Amino acid sequence: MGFTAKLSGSLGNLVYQVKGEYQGNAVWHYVLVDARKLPLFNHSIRSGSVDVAKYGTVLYSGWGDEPPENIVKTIHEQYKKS
Amino acid sequence: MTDTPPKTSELAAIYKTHLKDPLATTISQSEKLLEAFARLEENEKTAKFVAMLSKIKVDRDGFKYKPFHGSKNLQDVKDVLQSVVNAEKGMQGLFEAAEKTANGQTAEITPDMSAATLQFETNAMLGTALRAVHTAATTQNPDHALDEILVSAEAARTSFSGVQRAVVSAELGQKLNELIPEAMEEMRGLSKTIPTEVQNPVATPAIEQQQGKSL
Repeated sequence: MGFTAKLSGSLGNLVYQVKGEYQGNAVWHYVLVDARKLPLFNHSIRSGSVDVAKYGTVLYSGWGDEPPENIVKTIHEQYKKS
Repeated sequence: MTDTPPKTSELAAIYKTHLKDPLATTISQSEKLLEAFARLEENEKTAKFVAMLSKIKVDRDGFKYKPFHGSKNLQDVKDVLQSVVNAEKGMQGLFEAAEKTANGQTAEITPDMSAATLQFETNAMLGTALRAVHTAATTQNPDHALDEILVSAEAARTSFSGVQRAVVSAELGQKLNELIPEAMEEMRGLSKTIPTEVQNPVATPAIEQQQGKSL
C-alpha cells in the first residue's frame, strides 16, 4: 500500500456523511473533518445547524436525500480503513 | 368570466366533476371553480359551500395538496385549488418543455414548473421517477442516465395520465439526458453551488455508515 493510500485509510474515521436540509431542500455532504475540530463539529451537529465547511474539507456535495452510488463507492475506496 | 355569480349548486357540480376525474379535467375544472370563487362574496351561501368542502378529504394519490378537510375559510379552499392548478399546469409545461427539447427547440423552465416538480415529488410513483432522474443527472453517466430516465418516464407516464404522449420514446430519453443536468437544477430552484450550511443535520461516519452509527 502506498503512502497516500495509507494516509487516506487513516483519515477514514474523520470522513463524515452529513445529511440535512438547506431552505427546505434535502442536501448531503461528505466532509473530511479536521481532527482538532471534531468535538466542535459534533456539538454543532447536535445544535440543529452546521456549516460543514467550517470544520474541515468538503469532499463531495449534492442535492437530494442520498448521495449517488458512485460517490459512496469512491469515498469507501478512497478512505476505507486499512 | 361571467358577470353573474355562480350558484352554490353550480359550484358543487363543478367540484364533484373535478373529484370524479381530477387528472383529466383538473386544470379547466379547477380554473372554473377558482373563477367562481373569485366572484363570490363572503355570504351565507359561500359559508355553506365551504362548510361542505371542509368535510371532503381530497385524496390525490399522495400529492402534497392540502386537503380540504379542516379548511376553515374560503381562502384555504382557494389556496388548495390554486395549488392544484399551478402544479398541473407546471407539470404539463414541464413535459411540453421536454418535448420541445426533444425537437431541438429551446425550452424555458418557468417557476410553476419548479413548483410542480417539488409538489409532485411527494407522489409515490412520480416522486420516485423524479428522484431517479435527479440521481441520473447527478451521476452524469450517459448509459445509466438514459436507463433511469426511461424507467422514470414510464413511471411518470403511468402516474400522470395527462403526459402519456410525452415520455415514451428512447429518443426523448436521450434528449432529456441532455436537458436534465441543468434543467433539473433549475426546475428544483436549486443553485449549482451547493451551500455548506445544513439545517437539521445528521452526521454519520462515512466508512462505518453501514453499521448505522450516527452522531
